[in-house]
Amino acid sequence: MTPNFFENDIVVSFRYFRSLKVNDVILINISKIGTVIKRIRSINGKELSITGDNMEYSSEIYNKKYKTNDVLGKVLFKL
Amino acid sequence: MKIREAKAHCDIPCAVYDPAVAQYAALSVVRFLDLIGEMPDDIQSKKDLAHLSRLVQQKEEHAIEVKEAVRTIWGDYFKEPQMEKFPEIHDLTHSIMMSASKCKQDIDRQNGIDLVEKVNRFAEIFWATKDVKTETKKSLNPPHMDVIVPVLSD
Repeated sequence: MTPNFFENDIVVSFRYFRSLKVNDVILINISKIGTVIKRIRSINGKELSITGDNMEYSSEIYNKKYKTNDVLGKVLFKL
Repeated sequence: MKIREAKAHCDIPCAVYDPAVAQYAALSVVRFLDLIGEMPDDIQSKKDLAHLSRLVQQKEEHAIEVKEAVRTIWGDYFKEPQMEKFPEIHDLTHSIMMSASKCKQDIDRQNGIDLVEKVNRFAEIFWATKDVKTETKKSLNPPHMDVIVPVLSD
């Protein structure tokens, strides 16, 4: 998630968010990987896709759809 | 207050892409094809049958490893600038998939040789995109085939 988030950064997230929108940074639970910090690329109802800020790298998790229920929290700010 | 850890997942540690995984898996496929070829045509004993099964299974696994490693680099590392520079990468990658499948389907050594040569070309292109010079070296392990490797600086 560079250049916006680096290893060992501490972020504050809010679990009880009202809504999610494109470009929101979220914490999301990914099967077999665990909790990841990513940015919402698209959202359609209760389904969303994610991306990372570092355009130089990619991940197979960007090609999948996730449920909004998988979102653990919306990142508010970095400490 | 509990602070939980979150990752920023990439396929592998960021920036660590190396076609060597695919190259050595391809060499292993040839090695297993050779070992299968050395076995008698009329297998009589359970021991030989078990050995052949193991060799075939390993050949399958390494051919799959080639496909996965090449797909990952092609899908995740190669982007517009690299593709424009080496437009053959798409056909080459597809061709590697087909050759690896042939290696799974058959026991013809030539299929393995084709696979190694194509994966070597893939490696050559990969390093060229990073402006890293390559050289051809003879593999120290059987089947002692040529592999294209980066010229490492001190």
